[in-house]
Amino acid sequence: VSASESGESRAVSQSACVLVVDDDADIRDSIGDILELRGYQVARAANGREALDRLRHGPLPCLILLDLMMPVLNGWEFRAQQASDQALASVPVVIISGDGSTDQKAASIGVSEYLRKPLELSAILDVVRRHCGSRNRR
Amino acid sequence: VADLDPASAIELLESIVIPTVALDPTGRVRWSNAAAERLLAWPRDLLVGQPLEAVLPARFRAKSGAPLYAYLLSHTRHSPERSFRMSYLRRDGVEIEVDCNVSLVAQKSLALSLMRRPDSFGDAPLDTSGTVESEQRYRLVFDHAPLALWHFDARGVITACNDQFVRVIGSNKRALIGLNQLTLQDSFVVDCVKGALAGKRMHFEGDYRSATGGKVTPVRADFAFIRAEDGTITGGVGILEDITERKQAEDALRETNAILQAVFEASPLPIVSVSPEAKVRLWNRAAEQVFGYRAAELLGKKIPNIPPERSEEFFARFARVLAGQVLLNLETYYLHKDGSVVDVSLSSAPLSLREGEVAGTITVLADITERKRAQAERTALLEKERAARQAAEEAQLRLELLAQASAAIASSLDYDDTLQRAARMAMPRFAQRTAVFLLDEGKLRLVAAHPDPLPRKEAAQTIAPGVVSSGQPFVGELSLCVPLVVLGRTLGALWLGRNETEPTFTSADVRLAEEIGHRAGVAIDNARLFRRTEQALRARDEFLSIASHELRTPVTSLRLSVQNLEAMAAEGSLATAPPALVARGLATVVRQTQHLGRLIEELLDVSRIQAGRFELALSDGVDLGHLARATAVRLERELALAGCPVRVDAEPTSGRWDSARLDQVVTNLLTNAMKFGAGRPIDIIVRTSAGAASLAVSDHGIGIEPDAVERIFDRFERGVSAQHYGGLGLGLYIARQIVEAHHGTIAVHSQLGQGATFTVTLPRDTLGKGGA
Repeated sequence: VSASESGESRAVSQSACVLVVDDDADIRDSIGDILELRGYQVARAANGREALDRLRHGPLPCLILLDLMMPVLNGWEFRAQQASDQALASVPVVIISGDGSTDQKAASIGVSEYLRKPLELSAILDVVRRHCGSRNRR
Repeated sequence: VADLDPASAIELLESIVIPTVALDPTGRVRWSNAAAERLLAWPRDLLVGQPLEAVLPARFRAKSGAPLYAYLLSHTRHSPERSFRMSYLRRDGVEIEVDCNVSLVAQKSLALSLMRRPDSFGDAPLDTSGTVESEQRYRLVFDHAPLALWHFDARGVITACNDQFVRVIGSNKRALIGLNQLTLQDSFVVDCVKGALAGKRMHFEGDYRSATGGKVTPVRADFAFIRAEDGTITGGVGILEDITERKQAEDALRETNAILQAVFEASPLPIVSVSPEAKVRLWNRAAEQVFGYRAAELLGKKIPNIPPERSEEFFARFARVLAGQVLLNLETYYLHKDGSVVDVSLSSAPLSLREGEVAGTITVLADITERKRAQAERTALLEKERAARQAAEEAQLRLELLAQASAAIASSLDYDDTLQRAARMAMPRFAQRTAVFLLDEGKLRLVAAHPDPLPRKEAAQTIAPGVVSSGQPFVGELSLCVPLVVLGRTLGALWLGRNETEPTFTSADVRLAEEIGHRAGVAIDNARLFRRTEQALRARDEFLSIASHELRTPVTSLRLSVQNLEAMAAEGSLATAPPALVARGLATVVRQTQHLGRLIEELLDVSRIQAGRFELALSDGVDLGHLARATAVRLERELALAGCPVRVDAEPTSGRWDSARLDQVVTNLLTNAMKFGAGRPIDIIVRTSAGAASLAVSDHGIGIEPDAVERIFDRFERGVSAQHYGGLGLGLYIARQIVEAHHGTIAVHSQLGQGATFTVTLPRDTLGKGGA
């Protein structure tokens, strides 16, 4: 696996921690296992409310992987609160959704990157590397 | 006179009936005629040679001699034609007044003609010469009578005649005196004279043709005989009257009469005259033709053809005409002899034959039956034409209204607004008040009212439900209500009201309103179908979106886990990796494969239900309580993850059910409770009774919006947004289908924010074979 370094991603990724927000436990665990196996730190949240809690009480991640359809606080609502919070607004977000119109939905909440479910391992690693840089394998 | 021989002149003078006296220049009487002798009662031999003064009263004697003569002479000079009055003394001394004319004859002789003044006629009789006087009087009568008189002797010879006779006969006296009438040509004269001489009174009226000149004169003649004392007929007298004028007048009258009679009979208009007693006096031919009665059968009888109902009016009018009123062109009717009505225009006037005496009335009539009929026909035709025009205009109005309303109805799928606009179009020409009612889920809703609020709201609201339930229009005079129907289904009602001043609703109006109602019904139905289709499409699209999401989620974790294991295997790190991590990846693969299987199974169930191929595999002794407990155990991990502990309170209860399907029901209800349970405990209670078993699943979560309760059991439906809650939205739908296939029921009781309880009731012995 080749790592592609980008200035942008280095600048924002200090903790090299990725926040995975999805109401499906298996998806959270699959992505978490893959990233942890490759040396990234992973924080998990089952909905937008939990995600906001983690952002406000833990270290800022270098990237948020965000599902849209979730109970309690969905992806759109989370994004709106994140964007309006100065401290959190700069954290890059990549949408992960199985929805057919993910691109439009991503654009509608000011997010330019998205990954459509079902996700490819390589695509996840690629987007994480770009934002958080390469990590040594554990 | 000068040309005559002296004897003839004397005879002529003698025959003059006017008393005439000639004076010589000395004023002495030189000559007098027989008439003068009779007038003055002086024998001629005594009078001649006497001065005139001798017979004058004393006051005239003053002018004796020349003066009297000169006085008389002056009259000849000044006014020879004018008579002057003077008096003379009769021989008996009585003074007689005379009118005197003087003329100068020859050698200064004067001729005096004396006319006795009539007013001095009845004075004292002449005592000595009475016969003369009487004779004189007869003569006067004889001479002056306006009748032609003559006397003839027993031989028929004319002995005397007066001037009038001479004039009528057109001859002269000399020729007539001595004429024997029996020798005349005129047979009537001969006959009459003969008759008279035979002692008969004779009368003749006819033309007299004069022997000289052949002049024809209409005359009337009477002849009488004169008898002597011994009884012998000594002669006769004749009286002859010239009746030319009378005859002319009579002829003229006769002619006029004939003309009038001709006019009367020839008149194309009936002319009728009746007496004051209303008896027919005249009845011309036209009257005979028009009324059918012959004059002969009516004359002298009361007018027979007055319509009984008009009798009073007729006699009042008749009395007015008798009183002098003239009627012109009065229209009324009489009866024909055959009983039919004859319309007439009549002019009537009082008939006066003698001054101041009304002899009845005269009436001219015109038969206007034809005119009346034509007029009535024309009026009827005009009325028909007017009605036709009005009908056409109304039809035009209705067509326009229908076109406008149709356009409005078809213009939009928002039928509330559409119906309001369509209803408003009927105003104000077709109706002044409108209301539209729509049946929404069994309730009649007032959609539109003009004016709003409706003044006769109650009426409309009692009428409309009747119309909707019967499907038949209600037609009042000023109130019309028609159903809005489509394919026999009544969707609502259209009510129209008119003001008191407007015409009442006609059948054409009803047809128009029904047509509008029908079109509105179709439009509403279309709009509803469209809305339902849109909803279905939306639900389907949403379902597809959700389904793809729901399918992608397990595929995502499945694929990531497999790819991760694959990558580890490729790197050779699989052996060195922590076993727990590998085991978790494999578990994920297994779980997600099962999940995918379930999802596919759900979709297939829906497909089966839709296709009517949903069948139950019933078996006896299925325990619902056990089934509930087992399901709770199977879902333990997920329930724990959701933070929802489950409490099961289940009586053992068995029935003839499809065990796998009931498992599905419990799973779906539990999954549903878990999803919306907000991390709070869930209770499952199973109870049994003689014929049925019940299962209740209660959560204490977000609850269900009241308006969502109705549809959560529908396909693709969910009580809340899919953006918060995943799932295909088929769980409750499938659960209901399964329950209903068991002839059971499923119900939900919920309060928003308080959670929800789903209760399934199943008959313990499901009778039917199952299948949806």
